[in-house]
Amino acid sequence: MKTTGRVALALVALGLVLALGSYLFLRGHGFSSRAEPGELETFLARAVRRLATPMGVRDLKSPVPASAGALRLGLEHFADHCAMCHANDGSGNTEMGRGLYPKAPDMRLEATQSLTDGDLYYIIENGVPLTGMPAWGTATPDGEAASWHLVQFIRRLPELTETELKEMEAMNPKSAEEWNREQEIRRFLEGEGEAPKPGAPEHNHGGS
Amino acid sequence: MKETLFALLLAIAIAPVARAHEGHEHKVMGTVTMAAVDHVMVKTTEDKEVTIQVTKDTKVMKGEVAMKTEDIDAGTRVVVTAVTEKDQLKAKLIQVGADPDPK
Repeated sequence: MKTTGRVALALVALGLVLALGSYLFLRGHGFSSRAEPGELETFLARAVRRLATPMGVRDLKSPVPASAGALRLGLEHFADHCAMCHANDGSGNTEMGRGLYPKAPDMRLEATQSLTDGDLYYIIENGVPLTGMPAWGTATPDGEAASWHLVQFIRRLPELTETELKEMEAMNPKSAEEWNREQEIRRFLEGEGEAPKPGAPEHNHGGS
Repeated sequence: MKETLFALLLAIAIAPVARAHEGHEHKVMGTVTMAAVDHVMVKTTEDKEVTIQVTKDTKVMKGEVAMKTEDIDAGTRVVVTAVTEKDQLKAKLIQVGADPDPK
C-alpha cells in the first residue's frame, strides 16, 4: 500500500475512534448548561466569532457622540434589557447568567473591554449564535442608536459607582412576586414582625 | 444544519473538559447568631441555623452604608442573598437591618 493510502486510512481510523469516544462520552454524561466551557472551546469559539465578524465592522465608529446623555440612555437600557443575564455591574453574576452555556461573561474584564466598539455593536445587533446572547437589532435608526448607547455604557462598566448601581436596581424589570418579596424583605429589615431568637451557634470549626 | 454540525463539533471538542457547576440563588432571612470575617451564621425565620460563607466579593450593606461582616452584632436582622457552590452557601449580598432588640 502506498504511503498516502496508509496515511488516509490512519486518519479515517483516528476519526472513527474520536467519533466513537465522543459518542460514548455524550451518552454517558449528556449535555448540561451547568458545565463550563474549557479553554480549548473558549479559544475556538472566540476565534470563530472573530472570523464570522464581517470585514469593516471592527473599525466601525459610533455615529452617536459620547456624552453624559448617551451614557445615561445606555445605563437605562442596560438595566431594563441586559441586566437580567449580565447583572447591572456587567459581571454576569445573575441566576440567568450563571445558568447559560457559556456563562454570561464578566464584561468588565479584558476579554470584553478589548473588543472594538464595532465588535460590541455587532454582537448587540446580531447576537452570538449557540450562546444565550440574542440579536437585539431592529434595523431601525432608533434601534441602532440604542445599541451605540449600550456600547458607550459597556465601556463604563469597570468604573460604575455604587450610586449608579443603586439607580439601575430601581430600573430592573420585576415580576409582581419579586416586588412583593422586596417589600417583605424591606419590612423585615426595618424590624416589622417577630424575628427568630438567636440561639447559640450549632456547629464548631474543629478548634478547641 | 450548519449550526447543528457546529454544535456537534464543539461538543466533541469540549466533552473531555466539561465540568459540573452549581449556582442557585437563595435569600436567607433571619437574625445573626454569629458573624466572622469568613462566614456568618443566621437563625432563619423558619427557625433553622444556616452557615453562609463570606468571600472577598460579598457586599455587606446597612441601608446605603457598606460595613464589615464581623461588625454585625448577634441578634441583628439580615437578609442574605447567597448562591450554592459545592454544597456551600456563599454570600453575594448581606443586607443588614434593624439593630437587635434590647432584651
